[in-house]
Amino acid sequence: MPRTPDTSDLVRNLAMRRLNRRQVTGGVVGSALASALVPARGLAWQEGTPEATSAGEPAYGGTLIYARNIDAKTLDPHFSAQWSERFMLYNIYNTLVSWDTDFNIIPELAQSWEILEDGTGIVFNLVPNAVFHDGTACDATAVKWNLDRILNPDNNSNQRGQLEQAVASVEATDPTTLFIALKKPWRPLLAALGERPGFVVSPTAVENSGDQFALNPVGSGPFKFVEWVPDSHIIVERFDDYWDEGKPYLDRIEMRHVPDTQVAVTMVRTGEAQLTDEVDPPMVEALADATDLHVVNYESWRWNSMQMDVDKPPFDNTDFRQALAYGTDRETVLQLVFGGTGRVMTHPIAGGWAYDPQLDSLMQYDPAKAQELLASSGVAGQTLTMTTDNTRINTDLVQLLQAQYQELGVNVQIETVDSADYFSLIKDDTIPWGPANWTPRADPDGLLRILWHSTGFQNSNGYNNPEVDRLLDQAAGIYDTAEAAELYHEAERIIVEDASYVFIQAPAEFAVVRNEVGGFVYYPDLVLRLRNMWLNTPM
Amino acid sequence: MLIYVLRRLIGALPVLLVISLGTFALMSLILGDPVLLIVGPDASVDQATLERIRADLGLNRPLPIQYLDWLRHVVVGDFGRSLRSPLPVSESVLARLPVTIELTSLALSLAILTALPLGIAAALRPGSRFDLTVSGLAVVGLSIPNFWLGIILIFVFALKLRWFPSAGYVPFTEDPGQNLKLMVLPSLTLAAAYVGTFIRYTRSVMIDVMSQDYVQTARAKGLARVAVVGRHAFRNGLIPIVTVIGLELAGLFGGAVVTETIFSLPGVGMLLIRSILGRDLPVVQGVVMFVAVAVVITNLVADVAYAYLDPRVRSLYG
Repeated sequence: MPRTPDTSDLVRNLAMRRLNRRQVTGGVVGSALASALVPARGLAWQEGTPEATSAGEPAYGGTLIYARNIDAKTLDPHFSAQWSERFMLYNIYNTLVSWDTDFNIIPELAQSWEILEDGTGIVFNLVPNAVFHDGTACDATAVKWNLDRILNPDNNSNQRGQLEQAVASVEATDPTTLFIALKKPWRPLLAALGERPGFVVSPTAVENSGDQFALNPVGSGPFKFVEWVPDSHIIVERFDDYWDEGKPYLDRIEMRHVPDTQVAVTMVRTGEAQLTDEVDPPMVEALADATDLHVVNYESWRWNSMQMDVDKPPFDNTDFRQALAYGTDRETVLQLVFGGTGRVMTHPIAGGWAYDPQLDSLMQYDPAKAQELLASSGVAGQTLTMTTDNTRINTDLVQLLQAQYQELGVNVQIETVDSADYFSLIKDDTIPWGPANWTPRADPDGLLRILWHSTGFQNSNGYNNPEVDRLLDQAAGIYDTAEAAELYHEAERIIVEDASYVFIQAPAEFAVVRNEVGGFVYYPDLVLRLRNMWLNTPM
Repeated sequence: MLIYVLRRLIGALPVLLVISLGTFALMSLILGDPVLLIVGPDASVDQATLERIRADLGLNRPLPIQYLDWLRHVVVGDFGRSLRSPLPVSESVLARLPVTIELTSLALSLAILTALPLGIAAALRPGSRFDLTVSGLAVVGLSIPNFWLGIILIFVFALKLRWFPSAGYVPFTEDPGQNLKLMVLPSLTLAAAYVGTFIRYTRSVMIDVMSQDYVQTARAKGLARVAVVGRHAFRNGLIPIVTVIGLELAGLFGGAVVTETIFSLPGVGMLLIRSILGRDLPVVQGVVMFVAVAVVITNLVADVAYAYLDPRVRSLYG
């Protein structure tokens, strides 16, 4: 999902925006722009494989303080929309199933499951000893209550669609057996049950506190809720009756709201916090001399791209879109906008079981081919408008692309809108051309369906290819991932060639972590599982 | 005097009305759709659900109706509920008030207590090296943007010297020592620009006053220097200085917005930024009304203060 910009972006932009606007209207292009965006010099960070950072045996006790921008509005998972809420949801609640770092489905509340032979039902065997923090049992009846809560249209859960498209009914056969009957075979449901639709809240607590449950969450997770002071901090502490024996390691987790990343990094340096993430590459550079912390670097599966409204001229012209795709010098973007970090990426599945390395060679930078396609498209002489939000990455990105496309012979002007509005303007179909970045879902169906299926919630750019619809629908019904992957490769190739999105880059993520933190692992969804961490020298 | 205060308060009502209407209009003109922000970008909901949420929040009604409805509730003290949290607006604002009041009053006291003595001292020897230093510092303080100053203070005093914590907030009632430690850097950050303004103003006012005939007379009749400056000159100089402080109070809140964001203080300014970014109209309206009332009251306090400082003004009020 697109990240909400943090407030420090906003504050800095107060100073930056004036400069940017002058650059834009003054038509500063090419080399002038390139020198304005000085690439970061060689970054110094410790190579961050999960093994390297989680060295040592788990130790018990201590308070982990995690500093980040918190835009949390609710801790009720079934209504959660904000990115930062998820970092806390995983501590307070369990999901029915879970994922590993390659997005393979692994047990959580369900210790095992069986799929009916014809694929139209799944039987889950639940752990017998799970209890909610309020003492009530977290059994099959409770899980059924949760799924029904999301499915009930009166509740307006923003996750209903994920379940509704597949689930026919939910039955609690006995306290540890849950049966989900499906409308049709639907593999993506399992992955969805490892995320917000699969979080299990205490039915008793919801019935007792009504809409105040959002502020007083009760789950069955390893940590129970203590306190939430909006825009200040969220605190949870160890739940001693947690069903998974021996876990968790920490006594307490404090998530501190620090809107400014620079300040969050400083707090990790001084020891006021133990970790922070989403750190900009240039900030990482300043940490070369720090000895009591390290930088973890993760090549994410997230991607940055430019999306076009394929139902509006001139973007309805496939040759023209392909010309832009071939005319995008991604390597230069990588160097100038991202300081050389991350990977060039030309297709939407950048990792996991559906990743197809062969697609990496599609639509590579080829100015001659771009010229050729541009000529055959017949699009010429117009000035097109790129609209961007005001985050640093995207404003830099569109300025660089403006220069690159200008060289190609396409005149581009830039408009900037506030980040908070950007997403709804895309959705309203009022922005024909602009940056889009997305983070992968645990199942490839997740992102491909909402963006490229003709019925997708985020398919606001009018993309409609019956062949892609067919491949996506067919692939979603196949539980065997190797078999499904073949169909995704095919669908992805068509999506890339149709060029409704020009894929550019998969960014690297940086976290700053004090050395005493153990168990730090990046997941491809970029949500840190704080619940699995420990402190080697508890404070 | 009481009648004067009452008259001023009643006179402020139309101002508040216009401000609320302006805020409402501006927020409605902003392009974003709050319902889409509520469900989030990766939601999978159908149009019917979006419409239902819109109807639940009353956002499907015509704008004038929405405004009048809001007004009708505000008159009886109900500022409505946040679009994005189950908390009532008044509760959100009140919970954050202590943070902002503490920050702004510490910063203001700091600014007044440093700027007035320095400004007066500089005025007594205009053109001296001391005067040049103070005036120079004032210009520096005035021209440093506070988001930059905040980061620099954190770098020097929290990271390098480790004298103070970098950011965060603990209520005074919970841990007074930690609370004050956490407030030092934000107060300095916010105070810097006002120290500059107040020094420059105090200095020029005092230079002006010191050259007045009655000061010459006081000197001529052999009064001690302290009495001349303190009782005669400064008292008269104070009136325009109070005016400037009163005017700057409104700006103080703007500075608090930035300062609270840098130092992670959960104050009213942070709430405002958050609500604007989240297109949370009821909260934005609530905060703006609160700030408007605060400005009206502080200006009133400044006006009343004249009356005590200046017998001529007092007689005007009757």
